[in-house]
Amino acid sequence: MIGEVIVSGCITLIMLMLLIVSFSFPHIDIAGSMGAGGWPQGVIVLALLLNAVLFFQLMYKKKNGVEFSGKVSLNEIRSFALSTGIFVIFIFLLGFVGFFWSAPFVVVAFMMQLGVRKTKPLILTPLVSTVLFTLLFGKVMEVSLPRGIGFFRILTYYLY
Amino acid sequence: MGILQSFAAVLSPFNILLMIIGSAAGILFGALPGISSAMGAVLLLTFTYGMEPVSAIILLVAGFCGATYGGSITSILFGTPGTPANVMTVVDGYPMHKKGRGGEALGLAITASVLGGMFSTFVLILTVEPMSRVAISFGPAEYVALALLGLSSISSLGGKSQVKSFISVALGLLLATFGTDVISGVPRFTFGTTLFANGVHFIPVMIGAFAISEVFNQIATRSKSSVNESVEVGIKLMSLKQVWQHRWLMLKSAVIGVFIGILPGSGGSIASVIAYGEAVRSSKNPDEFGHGAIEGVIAPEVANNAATGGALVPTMALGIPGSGTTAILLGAFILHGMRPGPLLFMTQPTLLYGVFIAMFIANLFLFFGGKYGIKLFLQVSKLPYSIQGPVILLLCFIGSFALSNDMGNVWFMLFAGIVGYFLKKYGYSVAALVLGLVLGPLLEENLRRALIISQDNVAELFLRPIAGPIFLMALLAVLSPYIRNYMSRRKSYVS
Repeated sequence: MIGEVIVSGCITLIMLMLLIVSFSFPHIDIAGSMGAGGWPQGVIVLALLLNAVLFFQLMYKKKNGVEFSGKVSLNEIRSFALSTGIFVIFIFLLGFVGFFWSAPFVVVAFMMQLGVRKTKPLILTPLVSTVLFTLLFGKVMEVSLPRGIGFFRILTYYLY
Repeated sequence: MGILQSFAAVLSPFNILLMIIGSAAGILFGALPGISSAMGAVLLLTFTYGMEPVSAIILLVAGFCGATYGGSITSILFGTPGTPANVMTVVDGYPMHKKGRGGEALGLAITASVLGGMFSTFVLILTVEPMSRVAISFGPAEYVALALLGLSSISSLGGKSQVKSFISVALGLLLATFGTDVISGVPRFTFGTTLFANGVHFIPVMIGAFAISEVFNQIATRSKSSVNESVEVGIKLMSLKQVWQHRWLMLKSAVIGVFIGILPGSGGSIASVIAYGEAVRSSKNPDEFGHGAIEGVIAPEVANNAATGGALVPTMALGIPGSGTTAILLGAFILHGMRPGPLLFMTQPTLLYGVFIAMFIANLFLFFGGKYGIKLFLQVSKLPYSIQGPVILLLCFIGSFALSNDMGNVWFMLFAGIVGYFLKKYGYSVAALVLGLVLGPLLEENLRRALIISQDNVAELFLRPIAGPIFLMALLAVLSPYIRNYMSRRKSYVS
């Protein structure tokens, strides 16, 4: 119940915030009577009404003792937060050291989070996947993978 | 006579070799999440400089067909659409793989793609001129009706809570309004940053909502069994009986694909969404959609491959490219000394029909190429999840980043992953969210244009001869689950 209310509450808050922001859009005659803000405002109002219906449904369910969908345990939240944290670090690392040096980090970190402790797969998987993706995307397909800055940037020009 | 001449021109050994190479390269480009079919076409274009015009176009067209199919492989195995046209294949293809029916889903995708592609080229050869005339008469009101028809499938997507499905689609529609307003040029919800200036692309959102959230969920629950590793995944092609069973669905999806492909500015992604919606609407078991319904793989795959043929019509007949890939094809025409436009039908009928014949044959090669290409990817799917998961995350990153070499898309992907995780946990439909995001711009822009043209006369939208019936179909599609529910309740009450 509490999880459902939190999600529904978050959606309502975001919608209200966006509704307030949408009133600041300038109205330009050429854009028709609806203007730039008319459509998003209509969608927001619809979403708020639906959220209100959902809230009443939740209350009805609680009153009648109906089971609620979805339960997230504290352990799951912890693990999820750690995964998100690792990915955020990976994105920041990409800006500094580039794809080639940050990819092994993210692969090892997630493998360890999935319970892998053996040294062989922990060395081979990041090595093979990073080299393979760098060559395939960076060299063959000429996708411009992040290069990082300074020394790391210079180094990547020898690789892709 | 023109068709016979085209056959002779197309069926040279060199051109057949080009079709094989083009199809194989296309499958590879489509299957790699970072490489769009447009990027694949650019890569192939460099090989065409010294070729005859017909051969050059054949190579590019075969690549286009291959890429549209190839995108379904990663959609099914990793929950990451290889190309935007495969956006709806994820919705049922990935759940099928999770249930250990990945081989079946891949078989459905390949058969549906090939049949869709072959049907569309056959239809186009016969009807290209009248169809392009009807397509030109499509105005904003008709586009609005089409977008609503596509959205009407939400009443059946996501299953348990209709209200949550509608909230999800509203979130998608709202997300689609971020960025510069196309009509007035006013920046909307940009919050003073350049991050939102170009809007939110649906591919990073899709990758985040489906693939990232799933990997994070696997890690959080530490369940290695969700992606079925123990079951040997073999490709299971559609039997003739299955093809016959789904003949109307395939026919409908192919017609939708061809027609939407012809409409300028539309493409495989819109075609697959609308065909999916129609499949949901006409299904006897709409509740199965989103949980691994085979119709949910067949309909979008038939439609997106049928749309490849359709997309070439405005490009060649009007000189209007409907997508990035067809824009590159248009460039290839000009590069090889041809000027696409209405005169092309009269001046170069051999080339025009030659392109369609090449597409037809390229689709045949797809069947065999795809069958063997899949085997390579299936080896990857047999790896333990502790290896698969991190590798999928790397692919997700490349898929989002390579879209425009922009880290902003990677942040969008991560954010969509976080939101998708909680939405899925609490029974919201991420498929409905993506549906709203894909169809949002089409719906809003055309609704506003239609209102400007009709001077805010809403009734005029519904009274147009083509738009009116489509609006009615959309309304019926939304109401049909409620009507069915009411009828069955009434029946049980009476009995």
